[in-house]
Amino acid sequence: MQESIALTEATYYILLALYEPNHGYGIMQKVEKLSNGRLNLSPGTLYGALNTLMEKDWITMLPIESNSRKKEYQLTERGLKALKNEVRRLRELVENGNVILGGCDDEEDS
Amino acid sequence: MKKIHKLFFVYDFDKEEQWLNEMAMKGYKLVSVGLCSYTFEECEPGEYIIRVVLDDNNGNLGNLIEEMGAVEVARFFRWRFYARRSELGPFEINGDLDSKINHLSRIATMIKAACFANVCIGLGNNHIGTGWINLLVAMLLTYCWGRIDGKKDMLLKEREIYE
Repeated sequence: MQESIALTEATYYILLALYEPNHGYGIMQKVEKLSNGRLNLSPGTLYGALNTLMEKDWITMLPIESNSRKKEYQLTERGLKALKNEVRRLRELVENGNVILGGCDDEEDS
Repeated sequence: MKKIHKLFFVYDFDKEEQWLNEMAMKGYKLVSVGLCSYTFEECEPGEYIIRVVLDDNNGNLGNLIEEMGAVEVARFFRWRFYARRSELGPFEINGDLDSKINHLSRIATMIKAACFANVCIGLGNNHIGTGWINLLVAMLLTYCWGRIDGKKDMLLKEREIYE
């Protein structure tokens, strides 16, 4: 099923952070690192997002190991597909921006 | 140890949290919560940040909060009180509008259930003569529900503009 709606930044980065299985705090740290400190997920935010992503079957919770209290999550096939679609969508946005605004603006950024 | 008696209605949980943080800034860390009573122990002024949240029913939210280094210092029914050392940095549980709105919805659902239960018991006990107490409680809860919904509406209006 093709999902062509834009993801929020938080959702996108959470999915990206779950490219490898991770637990809650690990996701928070990964997202902070990926966004260069721009996105600091609070537990409430992450909690809501993880519930929604599980409902959509884009992520699952891994079976709980008896010696670890930390619940781990991972992408499902649908989730990975949604993520790839999103990257494709974002690439289209950036490419059009570069074409119209002319060239790479990374060097001009202070 | 210091025990203070103070009344906060359910819809003023944010004012409650603010007061607990003012106490923490003065050097009093919350250690237990009872009906209209809060017990503190002494700590370094500003050592802790306190947050109040209504638990979900499966403990996942609590796990996430504890994973970031916060400790549950008290609980009262489904209300959880967490403390985190200030030196670890800023501490928020409901950091964005959406999670604040979800939190308020969760509280509203709890109040609705209590309200409905009281209406049922009140009507059911009408023949005993004590039913009016429950109906009075139900009215009070309806008022609380209205206040919570009011807060939620304000946030939903903001949500239309911001993310």
